[in-house]
Amino acid sequence: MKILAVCGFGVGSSLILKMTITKALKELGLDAEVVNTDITDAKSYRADAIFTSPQFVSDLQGSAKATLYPIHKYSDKEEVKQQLKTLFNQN
Amino acid sequence: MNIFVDAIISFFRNPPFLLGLIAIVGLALQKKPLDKILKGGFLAAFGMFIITFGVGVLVGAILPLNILYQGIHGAGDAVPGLGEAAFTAQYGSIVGLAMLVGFVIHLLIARFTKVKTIFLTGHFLWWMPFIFVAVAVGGGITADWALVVWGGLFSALYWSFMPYLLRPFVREVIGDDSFTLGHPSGFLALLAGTIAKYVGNKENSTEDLKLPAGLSFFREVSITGSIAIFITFIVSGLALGGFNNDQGLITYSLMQGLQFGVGLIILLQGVRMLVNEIVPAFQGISEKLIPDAQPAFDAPLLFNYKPNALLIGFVVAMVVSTTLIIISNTFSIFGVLLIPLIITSFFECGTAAIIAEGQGGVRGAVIGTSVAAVAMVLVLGLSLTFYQATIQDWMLIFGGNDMSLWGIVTGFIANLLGGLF
Repeated sequence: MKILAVCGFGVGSSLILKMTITKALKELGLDAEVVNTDITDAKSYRADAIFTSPQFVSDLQGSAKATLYPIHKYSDKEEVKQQLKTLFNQN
Repeated sequence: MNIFVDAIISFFRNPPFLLGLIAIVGLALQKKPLDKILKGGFLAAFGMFIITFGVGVLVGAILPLNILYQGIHGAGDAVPGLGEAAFTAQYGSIVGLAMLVGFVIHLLIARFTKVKTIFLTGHFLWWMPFIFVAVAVGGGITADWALVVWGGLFSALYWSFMPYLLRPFVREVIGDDSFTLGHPSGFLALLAGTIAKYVGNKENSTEDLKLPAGLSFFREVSITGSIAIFITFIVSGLALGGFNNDQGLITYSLMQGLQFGVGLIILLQGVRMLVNEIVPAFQGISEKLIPDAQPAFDAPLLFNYKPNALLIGFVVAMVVSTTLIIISNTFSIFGVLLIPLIITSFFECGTAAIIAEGQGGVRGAVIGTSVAAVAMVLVLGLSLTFYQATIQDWMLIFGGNDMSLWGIVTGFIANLLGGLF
């Protein structure tokens, strides 16, 4: 399972999302590879799921082959956990 | 023995090596596997190298403007001072040591006082000691140890207290205490937010507005930057008598404009790489030592909460500040040619707009950011003397924020102490 964390402003805020996802995975006892990138690189990246901000979901919809999971607050573990549960239940 | 120590110091004089080492130490302390440690070290070094490379491209893009202006108003072709590249080459190791000393002091403050904010905006862990050391050098402080202590102490105070002051304003934007803001928008955000609280109306949010789709084009700062610099070159070339080249003004201006955009893209790529390695390292260390720490994050973490406010803030700031800059340049108010503050208008004023919106809605955001934009130009102009001997070329592109404000304050102190150390 490969999860891509995507941000849009090029300064690495996707890192924070990646760290939240990693913590959330650990607490849920789930296993996945988490990578982070910027929106321009995201389109060419191969992943199973993409976690990103709601405003970028439409940008990535067509070009990315993975399922998209919007996250409003990159540092919110509970919100990320909810999306992770949805992701893993569907696989 | 002395040769050995000298060799080590000159090795770490280079920011990439230093940052690489810090990443390695941070990862090693967290007992990561060897391959991850080495990978982290390399990527951090690459990131820092790319950043300095990007800055070089940016400075190179606007340098002809400075030279043109100096040729008319000042002494010959020279831009005053060492310049960012030379300053980094000469003082890089001191900045690096100041960064380490500063972070230790910063952790001590968090551990033993109620100010438990931990600054995790990677690249500003480098830039804050960078500017503080530059100001000290400009003020006449020469002893290496004094520069390191100065840089470290002021950086630590800044890293601890600015994010701490911003907490209530950030809380209003994100709805909780999960993090605060660690970014040189600091005083601009406080200013805009405080004004917005009194003149704004929280009922009308910027996020309820339906902005024209075309406006999101501005979000690509590299494109907006290219266009703004292109226009600046054209206008300056026409007003001040043309540049020394055989390309024709339009072609030349377009090339410089594109170069500015390129420099910005390179810079941001480097920042991303550096942050990816340094932030987990620092966070790991601070998590072990300060259990109830509150992280201070980079400005873009707030952008997602109020994307409309960001855009409105950027446009308002560009309009207000560029008008002031044109006036300042026409009347030579600051004695130096100011260039449009694209980066600061986007990152710092954009953040100020978001903070202001949290306090006073659309009206608060617009009025607050306008005032912040004025403050931005003023503080940049006033700080230029303090950076004249060192990094004025860099400040013209990246200033107008806390780095300028605290440059002025510590600059006064440095001038008083200069010659003593």
